[in-house]
Amino acid sequence: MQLIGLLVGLIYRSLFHRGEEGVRRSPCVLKLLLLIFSALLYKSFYLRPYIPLALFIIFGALGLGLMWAYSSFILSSIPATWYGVTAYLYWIFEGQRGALVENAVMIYLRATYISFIALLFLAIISPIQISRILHRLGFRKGSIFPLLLWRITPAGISNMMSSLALGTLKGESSWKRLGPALASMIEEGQNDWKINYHRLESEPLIPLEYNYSLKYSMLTITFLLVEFFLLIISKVI
Amino acid sequence: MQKLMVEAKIEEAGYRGSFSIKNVSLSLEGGEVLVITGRSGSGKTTLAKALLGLLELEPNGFFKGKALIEGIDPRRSNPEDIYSKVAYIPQDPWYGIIAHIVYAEFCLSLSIVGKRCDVKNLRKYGLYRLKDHITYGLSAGETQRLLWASNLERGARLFVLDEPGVYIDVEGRGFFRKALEKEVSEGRAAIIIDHDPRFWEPLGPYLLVLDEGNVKYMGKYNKDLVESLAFPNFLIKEIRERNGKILEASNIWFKYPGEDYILKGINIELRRGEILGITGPNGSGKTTLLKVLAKVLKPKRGQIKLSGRPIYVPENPLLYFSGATPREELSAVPKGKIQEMRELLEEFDLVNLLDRPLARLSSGERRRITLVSAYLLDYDIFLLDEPSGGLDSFTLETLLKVIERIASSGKGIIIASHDPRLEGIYDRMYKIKEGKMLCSS
Repeated sequence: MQLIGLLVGLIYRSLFHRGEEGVRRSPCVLKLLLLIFSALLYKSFYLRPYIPLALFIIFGALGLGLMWAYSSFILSSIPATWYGVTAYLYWIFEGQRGALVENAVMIYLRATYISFIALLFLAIISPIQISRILHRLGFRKGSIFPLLLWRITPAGISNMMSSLALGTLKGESSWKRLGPALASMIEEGQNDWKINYHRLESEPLIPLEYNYSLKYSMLTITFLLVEFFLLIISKVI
Repeated sequence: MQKLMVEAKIEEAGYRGSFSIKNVSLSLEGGEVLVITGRSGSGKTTLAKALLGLLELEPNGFFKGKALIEGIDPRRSNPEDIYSKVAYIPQDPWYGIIAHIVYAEFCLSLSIVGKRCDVKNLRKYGLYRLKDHITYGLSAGETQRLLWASNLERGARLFVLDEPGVYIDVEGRGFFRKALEKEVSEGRAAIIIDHDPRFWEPLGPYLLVLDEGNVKYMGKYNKDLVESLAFPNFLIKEIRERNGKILEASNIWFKYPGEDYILKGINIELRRGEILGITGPNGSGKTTLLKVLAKVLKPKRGQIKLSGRPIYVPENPLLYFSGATPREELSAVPKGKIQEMRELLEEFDLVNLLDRPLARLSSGERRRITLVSAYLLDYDIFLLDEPSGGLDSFTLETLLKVIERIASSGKGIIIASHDPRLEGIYDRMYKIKEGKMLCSS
């Protein structure tokens, strides 16, 4: 029970704990550039993945908070540890020799990097920015849905966390608890649609206003410059 | 002459093979208010949904008859037209929100009717400090305030409000009644569903009383009738023995990550057989305190000593359940308590609900089953969050009997609520404001 609750809590804190705050409030173009650079860094630092990983952990901690960086690092480490350990065991059973532990650690670091980057980009997506883009492209009705998605998903997860916590108080097994916890998530979505039917079927006439953050835009630009510098160094080395 | 806002002749509307309302006729002009009341399950919310054309969206929902809003049938018209005319606040406020951030929710509502939003207007509703807050992190009271704010600002002409003040503090309720009064004086109309119509009396409303889907009374506000339906201001209070401390919390400090402290040095103690009330404005930290006392949340500072097993029952009682039906939920009751369970189910009118899926139970039914289950599972400390939300006088009386019975058996109960109807059962009451305990009485 506690393990499932812990996992759900990590997902919530990594993706939905904060609203339009931190680097989420930097412009989309900068975020896209960050994504492109993270892919290039992965390729360039394939043999030293800890360098870009450390860089992005620092970026996450400064841009989204220490708790975000901590939760996301643990969450990314879970599948990465699985990949590293299974690869190591496979090599052992195959009778391979050499730097098996070092290679397994490399697999762990690369997988952690990819998962961490995925979480970072999910965390810095701004539903309001997407909504504004959709509105400008003429998808007025569709411009409501990013907002709705970012409302009902965390609301459902939050209900699930409460439900799991109550399960712990009641001393119930996790499997018994998962069904009703999921049912409450589904009920949340269905009720939101029924109650808000007229609004969801309407077209917003004015896009939502958005205040970009100069501080976090500067932070993103600084990291882009550092990444650019690292890319050049990697070519020289 | 005022414009006809609502005209309805409903032959029958409801859920196929289940509940329906029959032969309801009403008309409402601009500047008029109608309060709909009646017992839980009498069809009040069904009527509101039928008027708004929302009933057919429900599984097995059906509608026979006519319901027009400013001459438009909501079933056949553009949803935008209905949205621009009608402000709807649902009974469970958390289902009425679409956007993830307070200011986005507020501005989206205005954007649909072509109005630019001024976030500073949230100040009037006590929400400006929360403008960047996530909506799924708001308390039920703050959520209800947000719905009021969005609907008042966008200039709807008809207000359909289902229990619109149930989670709002007393001060806030007065403010919103005044705001509605102003709207009505400017020619708008309101349909308000409330278990206690007395609160709306200053608006000079019409009254519609429903009973098992049928109209019991429709006409001018009738004070005698309303008093006969209202919850009495006293309760038969058993003299309970109050023994040793069952809960003692000292100097509790708590904050959610990245936010300011929401609980600041709280001290509280509870004895066996005691019912303790916690009251305070929306967002003052009542729910958080209950969660901390239940050890669902860990305090940053302070100590909690429990001499027994705690159980927390949230605002949304659905989250308590682990079974798909009440029977499944009660299957965990120890064999030695089966006879007592039968008696309780009988006493609290729950026998016929045992095999009904949770989704089809009303709030009151869910709350009663939750309490009976927790009582039989022998918890010692009950932490109840807004247990009277959406309950009519009769259902509330039954619920309070369950609470009294739990306390009489030597358990301790802490209730967080705004509902003045509960004040009669508290042995002591704490007031909390901005995370600090102001006084106890």
